[in-house]
Amino acid sequence: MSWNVDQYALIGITLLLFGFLGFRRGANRELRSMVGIGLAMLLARVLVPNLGKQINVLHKLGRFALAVVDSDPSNAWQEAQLLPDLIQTPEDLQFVSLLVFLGIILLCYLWAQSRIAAPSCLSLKMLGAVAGGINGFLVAYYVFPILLKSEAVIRVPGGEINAALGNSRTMALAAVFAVVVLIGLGLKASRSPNPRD
Amino acid sequence: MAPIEVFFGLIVFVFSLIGLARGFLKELGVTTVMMCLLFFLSLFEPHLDKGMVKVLSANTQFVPLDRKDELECWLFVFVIVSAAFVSYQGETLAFGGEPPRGSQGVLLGLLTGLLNGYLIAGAIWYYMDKLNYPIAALGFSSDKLSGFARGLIEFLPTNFLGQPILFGQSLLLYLSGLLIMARVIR
Repeated sequence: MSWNVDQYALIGITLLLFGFLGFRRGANRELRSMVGIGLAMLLARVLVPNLGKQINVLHKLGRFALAVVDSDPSNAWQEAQLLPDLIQTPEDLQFVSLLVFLGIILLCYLWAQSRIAAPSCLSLKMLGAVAGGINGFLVAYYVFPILLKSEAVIRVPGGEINAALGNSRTMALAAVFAVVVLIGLGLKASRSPNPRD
Repeated sequence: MAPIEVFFGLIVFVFSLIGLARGFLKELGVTTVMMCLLFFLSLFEPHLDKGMVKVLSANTQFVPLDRKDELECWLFVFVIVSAAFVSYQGETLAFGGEPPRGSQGVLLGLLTGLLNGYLIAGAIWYYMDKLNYPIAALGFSSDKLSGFARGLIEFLPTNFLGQPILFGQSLLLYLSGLLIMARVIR
């Protein structure tokens, strides 16, 4: 049995979820998370392709260290050398990049949650909801193409979702919303020249 | 010569540092000017092209017609750089009030500076690309572009924000309107 899910429904649910999170967390926290997501995208794309070899070496070293407790070092070393590589295919590497991406984002969200004050008024919450939606878009843009390749019980049209997210118009709209949040938050945080405000 | 993406990337980076030093409210004034300028340039660009052909056809003894693209490119670069200079000089359209302080102020200044750098450097790159890199002195040419640089062209401001979204109008118009409204309300 399988269910078909419309691509716009899935994107909409993601945006709503992140928008709700943004509403609760406020624009100040969401803006920091947005910068974190940008950094995570960059790091996951630039660093991870070079990490495959190091991860395999570390994995074998770890297994060697565990094996050396029970048997003699030369046997343990031979056993470790015979182990298959942990990262073998480009898909494995993509999975690592996904983990790095999500790890950095989690850190950014937790850091912002603990260090930045909660929203004090409705306007900051509303701006937070928009910023949260943009964060949702950015996360979906990175995560969906990696996750939605294989068919599962819930069948999602991965190709259509990726096309909808990678569409230049969608990205331009997301960029415009980001600019609107930036302007709104900046003006809200600035002290007004008008003493009545 | 460094690759074009490095060259313009460095310009954007320098603008982000300028934004950091000047603060959010002053930078927002520059954003307003640049957004409006890009909108007007995208609107009048076809007319300018026709006008240049007419002017140069009538004055071929001074400037040959085959240098039209180069002249047009210089004109666009001059207009963009002049507008950037005017909007940075003094406090022409700076938003009033006291800029946000602390890490929030730093972040907002940096991001707005980055946005201004993108608008200014991106607009210059867009017109250079559109006119097939006619300024030979800069050493850029369309066949020397890397795959990354080719990918970035789609995201240059006039290409990216110039797409019609609502009522056949571009995002540049809506963003310009929004910034002007914010400036007036402020």
